[in-house]
Amino acid sequence: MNALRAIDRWWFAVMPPERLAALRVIVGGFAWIYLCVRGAHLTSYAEFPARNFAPLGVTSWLEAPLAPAAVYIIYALTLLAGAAFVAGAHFRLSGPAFAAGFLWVTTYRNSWGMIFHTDNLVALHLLVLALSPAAAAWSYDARGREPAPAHGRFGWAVRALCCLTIASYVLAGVAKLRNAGWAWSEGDVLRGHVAYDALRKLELGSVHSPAGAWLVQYEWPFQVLGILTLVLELGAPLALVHRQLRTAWVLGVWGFHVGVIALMAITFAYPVTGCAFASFFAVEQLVAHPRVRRLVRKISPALDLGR
Amino acid sequence: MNGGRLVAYGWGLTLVLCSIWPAFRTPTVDSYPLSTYPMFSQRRGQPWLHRMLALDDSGAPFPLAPKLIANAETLQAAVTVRRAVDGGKGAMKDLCSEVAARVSRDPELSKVRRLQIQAVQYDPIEYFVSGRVPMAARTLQTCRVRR
Repeated sequence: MNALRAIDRWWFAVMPPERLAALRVIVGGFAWIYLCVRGAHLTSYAEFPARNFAPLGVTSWLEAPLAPAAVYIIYALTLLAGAAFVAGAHFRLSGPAFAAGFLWVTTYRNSWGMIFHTDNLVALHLLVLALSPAAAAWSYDARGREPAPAHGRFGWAVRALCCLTIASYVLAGVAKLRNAGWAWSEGDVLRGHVAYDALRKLELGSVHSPAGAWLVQYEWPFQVLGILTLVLELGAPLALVHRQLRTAWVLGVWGFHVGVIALMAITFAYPVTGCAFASFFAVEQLVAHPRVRRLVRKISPALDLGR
Repeated sequence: MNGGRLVAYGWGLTLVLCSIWPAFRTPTVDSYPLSTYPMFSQRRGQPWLHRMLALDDSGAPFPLAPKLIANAETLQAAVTVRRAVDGGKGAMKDLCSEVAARVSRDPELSKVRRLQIQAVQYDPIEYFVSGRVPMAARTLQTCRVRR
């Protein structure tokens, strides 16, 4: 009983509404910019031949690809909903609409035989925020209202975002143990992946990482990287229980993703930009920074950043 | 339990539990957005690479840009070729003809005469240590670029 109460207290940790609002802007803003930047790519699937269609997740009920016009319309509506999501406008509608739209657009992208793993966490984070009170502050919906006091109802979504981030890394670690056992930590498997990735890109006429291609000559760096990777992935839950470990873990995982760019030329933009880890910190305090305040006022002069 | 708590547990906690669920599935099946995150987890060994090559008048081969095969994503292009290979002669012929039609419309590729779908086997480490020589190579499909 005491354990359940402790979990309940942890899940409903008292937090200011501004933290959830900041996460709405950071996560929603990332997702919206991502959709804009990758627009040509995400809509390119409209023209793919039906024989390559391999639906999964929310598209698995489709028996055939959508008509090209439907792909473009869904993409455009998702962008519209995304702008409202970030602004916190009509959030009861725009929240679920943007989360569902992002999930659909990215699932459709993954429905052609290749599952990319770069968007999973963004999609899950948006789903959490969609049904949370993330527009209770710093939003169009909350304009002219007195700021709500800190409360447990603003805490659960932040906790859920953190748990989802942690879970994704633990799962990646578990997959390595399931598929290769503890031998994964010896570095051979990782070395083979870095080499194969560079080889494939060279042979297929794409951009590869010269650093990775050079480093695969040596065994020892991969022994170190193999152990570090498993420690970061399987040790991720520690970031939930200790403040200093949390900061160390976030820096470690961020460094890991920078390493993936350096060795494999693969960018996981959500963690590399830091957006994936925003929920671990008091991000609402960012607005206290004069530069951020000036930027926000410039973008939206009417927005009341309050305290 | 009020509505807010119901959403907090019914939605927030359920999403967290669902995200962990793939780790307990047997056999492991990757999906989206609920994933097992299997990238970089399996031994690569000496894999076969499936690719499309363009050949000019002299027969000199060079790799085709991914956007001519699928889209700008290299991995998507690689998977498209692999799926055609898995689909057999008919699927390879279809892919080859579609790409040939795109190549014929591209003025920068006016010297390309033929396309080939190839399977090539490499040892990824040896590729960078000893030289870029394939262990084995097979041509699976050839088609002409008509102009």
